[in-house]
Amino acid sequence: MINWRRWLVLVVLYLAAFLLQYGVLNNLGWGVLCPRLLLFFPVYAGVLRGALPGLGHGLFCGFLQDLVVGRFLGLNLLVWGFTGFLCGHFTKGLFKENYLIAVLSVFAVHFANCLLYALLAGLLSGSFFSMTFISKIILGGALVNCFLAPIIYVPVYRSLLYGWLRPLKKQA
Amino acid sequence: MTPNRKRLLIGGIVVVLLIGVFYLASITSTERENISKLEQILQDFLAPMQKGAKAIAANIGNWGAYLEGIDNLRAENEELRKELSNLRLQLVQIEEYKLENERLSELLNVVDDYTAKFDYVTTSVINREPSEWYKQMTINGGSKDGFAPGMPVICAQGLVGRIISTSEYNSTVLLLTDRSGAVSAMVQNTRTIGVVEGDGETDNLSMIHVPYDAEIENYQQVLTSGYGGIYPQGLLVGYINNIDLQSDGLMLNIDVRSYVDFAHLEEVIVLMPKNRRN
Repeated sequence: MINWRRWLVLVVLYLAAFLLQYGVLNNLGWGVLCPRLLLFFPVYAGVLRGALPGLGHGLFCGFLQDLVVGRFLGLNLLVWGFTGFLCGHFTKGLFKENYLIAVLSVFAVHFANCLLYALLAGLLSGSFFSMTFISKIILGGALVNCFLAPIIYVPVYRSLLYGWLRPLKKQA
Repeated sequence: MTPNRKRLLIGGIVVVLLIGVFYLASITSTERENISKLEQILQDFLAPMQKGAKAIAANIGNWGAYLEGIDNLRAENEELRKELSNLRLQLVQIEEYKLENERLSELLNVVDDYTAKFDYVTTSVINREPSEWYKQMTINGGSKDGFAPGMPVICAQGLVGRIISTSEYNSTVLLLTDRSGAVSAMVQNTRTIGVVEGDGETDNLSMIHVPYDAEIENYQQVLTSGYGGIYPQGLLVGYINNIDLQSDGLMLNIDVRSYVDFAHLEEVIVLMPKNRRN
């Protein structure tokens, strides 16, 4: 049985995050300090639900970015899917009530995401980004996203346990 | 199926998918005549919402300016009024020069290249910085308005870039400051030819392929040369800010500054070839 309420909430959250990021925040001129709201979907799916949901959300977020702002169709899909999967894989046995897990996961995924994207985009275009530029994007994004991480983590965690985002239990 | 075979099968599928994605990514880089239907639908669906969100963001910015102090605005208003009256006088003079120029051009049988070949279509910027990795922006108007990849985009301060892809209702512009946005250019006074390119990371430009003995100086204007077939000749690119000799002593390192404030672009002009529009 499909939990329609959960899917509806997810669609609304995705739409809100996407519009907020690419419609409002990008136009404020904050540059690298602009939050990457879509990043939280694969990270928290990976941390709270496991590697496969992390992979799924990563692929979807990556694909969404490829379609709207991507220069190489499929590259974000690959990078985000991979990092979402890794996030789920490495946080498997960790204690999820600790907010520090959210902060560290967001930092690690953002770091891996940027590095992998820069490397693959450089390989595909034949011209690599400078390390200064990559560090600027990594540090700027890490600062903002790690600050937002616990603020977003609390409601997502609660909703996954007791609220509208709670998946249906499989019947025996 | 044995676990080993299953693992092998999954591994094989993953490798094939990876190769497929890499292939797709490599053939869809930078400039595409046509973007996929799915991309078009999604971009067109999002464009009105992005426009609305941008309007809200602009309003927030306006509130900030209001809070900064109404006195500043009054003083600025007074200053602008004075400037406006000066400009009005200048405008009359310019109009006179324009008429004189037209008469002289007629005498010399010279045709204005731009107005003869291009239509100027003014449009607004929807999204200035969609990706932190690349220097590009989204503008209002797409294939339905006659926009197509390769069309030059300018503003009052000079060259902005060129359209790289269009959906039905909006277009993506590759800025001059992007690493892929290089343009063939020349120094106005000496007609020295070179290539102006951005570093993709800042708004700084540099002119390359200029020999060491080129007679150029700081603050000379740099214009498009017309070579390469994308940009017409004579569009303002910027001015020379600094000149250095490369370590090999054969070529010059020329630092070029654009007059365009890429971070605050609101309206731009698309140069649309006349025959294409008809």
